[in-house]
Amino acid sequence: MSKGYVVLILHAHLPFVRHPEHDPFLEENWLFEAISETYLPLLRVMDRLYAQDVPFKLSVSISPTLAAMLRDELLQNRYIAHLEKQLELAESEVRRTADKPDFAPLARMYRDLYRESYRDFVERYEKDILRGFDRYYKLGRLELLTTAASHAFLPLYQNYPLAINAQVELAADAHRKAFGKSPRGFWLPECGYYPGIEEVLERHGFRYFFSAAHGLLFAPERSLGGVYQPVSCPNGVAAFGRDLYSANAVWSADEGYPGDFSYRDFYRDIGYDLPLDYIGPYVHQADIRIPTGFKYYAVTGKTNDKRPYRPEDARRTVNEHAENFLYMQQKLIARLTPLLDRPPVISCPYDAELFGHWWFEGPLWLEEVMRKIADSDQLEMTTASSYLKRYPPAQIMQPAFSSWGNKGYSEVWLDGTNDWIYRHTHKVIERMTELVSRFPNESGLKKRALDQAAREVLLSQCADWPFIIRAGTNVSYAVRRIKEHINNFNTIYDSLCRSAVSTEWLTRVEKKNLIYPDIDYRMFREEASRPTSIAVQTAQSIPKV
Amino acid sequence: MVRQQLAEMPIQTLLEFAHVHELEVRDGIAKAELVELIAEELEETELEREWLDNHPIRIEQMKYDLLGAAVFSQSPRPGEEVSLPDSYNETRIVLMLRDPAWAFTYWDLHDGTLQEFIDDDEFEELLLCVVEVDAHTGVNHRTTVEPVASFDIPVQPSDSSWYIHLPQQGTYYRIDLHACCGGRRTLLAESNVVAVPPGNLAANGEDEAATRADQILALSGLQKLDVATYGERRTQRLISLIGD
Repeated sequence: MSKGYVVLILHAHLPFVRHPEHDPFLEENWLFEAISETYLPLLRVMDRLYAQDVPFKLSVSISPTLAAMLRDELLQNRYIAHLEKQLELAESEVRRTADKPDFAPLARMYRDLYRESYRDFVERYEKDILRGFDRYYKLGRLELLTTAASHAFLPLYQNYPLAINAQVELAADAHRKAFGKSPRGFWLPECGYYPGIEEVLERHGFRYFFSAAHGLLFAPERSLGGVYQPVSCPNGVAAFGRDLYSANAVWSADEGYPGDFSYRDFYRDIGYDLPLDYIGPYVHQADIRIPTGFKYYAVTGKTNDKRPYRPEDARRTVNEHAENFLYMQQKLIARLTPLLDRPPVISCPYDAELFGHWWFEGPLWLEEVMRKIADSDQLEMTTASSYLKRYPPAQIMQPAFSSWGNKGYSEVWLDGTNDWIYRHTHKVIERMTELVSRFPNESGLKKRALDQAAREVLLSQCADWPFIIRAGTNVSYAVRRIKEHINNFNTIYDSLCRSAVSTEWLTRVEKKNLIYPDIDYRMFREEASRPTSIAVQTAQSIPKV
Repeated sequence: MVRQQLAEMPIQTLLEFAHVHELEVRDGIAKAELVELIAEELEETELEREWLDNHPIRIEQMKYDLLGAAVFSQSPRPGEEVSLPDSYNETRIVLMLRDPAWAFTYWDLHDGTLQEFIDDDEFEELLLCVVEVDAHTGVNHRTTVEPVASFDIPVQPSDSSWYIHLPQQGTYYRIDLHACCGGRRTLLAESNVVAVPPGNLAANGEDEAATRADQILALSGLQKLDVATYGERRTQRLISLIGD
């Protein structure tokens, strides 16, 4: 019987949003909702599977910005305050819906979920949920990957090898400090690949990355295993191609699982439905409606007349969809096996926040899929590292420039709305390099200023800001963030040129943007990075796997 | 839902939104009319996005859509606005690849340089010269670049960026910035070289291995790729396999 492997990868990332100068700060809700709706539910999925001896293997990429926020005391305490507010609303909802049979069980469900989140976060993980991920990492059930330090879309910085190197080096360092192990896999933000990035990855010990499907399919030579076998880049770093069938089944709102009519509707929320004099304390500034997380309706269809959500119906659908996923994978494996000289591997990367936040039942679906794969004699869950150990790539090939964005390249991060950014983000890299050559070996206040300058350079490159600007939501916040980082950098640059660094100002900025605590500005020294080649390489080398 | 949210907002917030989004608002517009105008604009933008965006991008947007209509509330507070320099007073040009058919270029001109040309009676225009180059990477990553073909794009002195359609894929491009005075060209800046990928399938042979590779390719979801492709390379054999 044919047998194939499945690699499930969840990319968990949020940009660094931390505003000690405001309390509360609306965009910090990105983190709070992701903890409640995605990260804690995923940990519970792993807990249940582990407790029941289900041999699951999962891969999760945790971005350095997300890890820094999850370990930040200010944000941890703010999350607890957020949960307390949610619990207060939950109690109020239980009372309000007591005589509404369609909604009362849902209000109790949300209350139970928030209570569970509170218990897990405060008592079990003592505010540090990375410990939960680390547990399964150490048990070998979870492979943790990292990604670019500030989640830069790397192809747009390829002319700046020092910046690319800094993004990769800091990410590897942060991972080692957070989890005590060197990561083997690197998640390219937005699957943004350009020929040559593998040289930087190899330098920092990475052994593989994931590519958009056409990164392999449109390579200068044919990928003999399609996207179902990793290839080795000329320097030995392996590239896994993204499987499009698995992707569409889960990502598509129309044809994919999450759009099923029985699932919970994402958009309908009491933050919009209930009168402001009731919901006011739980929305923004008491009068700006925002989602509260209390959603009582099912998808129902393309109609505004939604029917109440019934978790038991959704649960049945989850089971059907997990069955369907398994069936599709097995069918694919059966067709691929006679064509390949080794077992096929299906790489299924997803945004982690899709599960639970947008697709409420997503974590349950993942759990069911992992249970069913464990019972299957045709499929086995694995990680990219384990697969490479057993089956080193047979083909050496240079993947092509690609991303998983619209039309497959850079247009999401480089269009008429956001292209103004790069003039500045590129310039600050050049100025940073100039600062390092002028101040090669500083200590004390000057080193602090230079280290902060390096932080600001990296934070300005975060791909989420051009993404949000293009998307048209929260534009002013994204613009403000880019300008703030560029401006902070320029202030330091000018101050150092005048030898007049304001300690008070610097301390304030350091306290606010306190990511990458051990950064050393000298990583922007010219010799810190070797240039990468612009031409497609044809050199042959033995895969290092 | 959107209309209800808008109706609850102060008219000043709505007017600011209309201004930012360049909506035509007549003096003394009634709030209900303004709400309708903005709601239509939001719906249109959303439809456009739905049409343009692929699955990963739509999902990612959900992540940042936690705040719903709070887009209205996040204007910087007074004193928090930061302005960035329009230029860095230097002469340079940078070329960035957007996809195999489009590149973006931005440039700066030293204040003195630009003024000198503008003041010159013989000044005609600034030109972007898009140069296709043949690049070879040799040992030690040294790259030699030979021009193969080029074409010009006239730009205004007030311009500082441009999107360029690239006629060829699977090649290399550079861009030069010239000033034209009295029929003469002065090279002001030369950009980096970008490698443009083919943006399509590599050619395949006709042997058994090639047939097998095509079968795997068809199973790899070629018809669901949803990416821009350049120059059709799908053979009849592959098309029939995809059809299966």
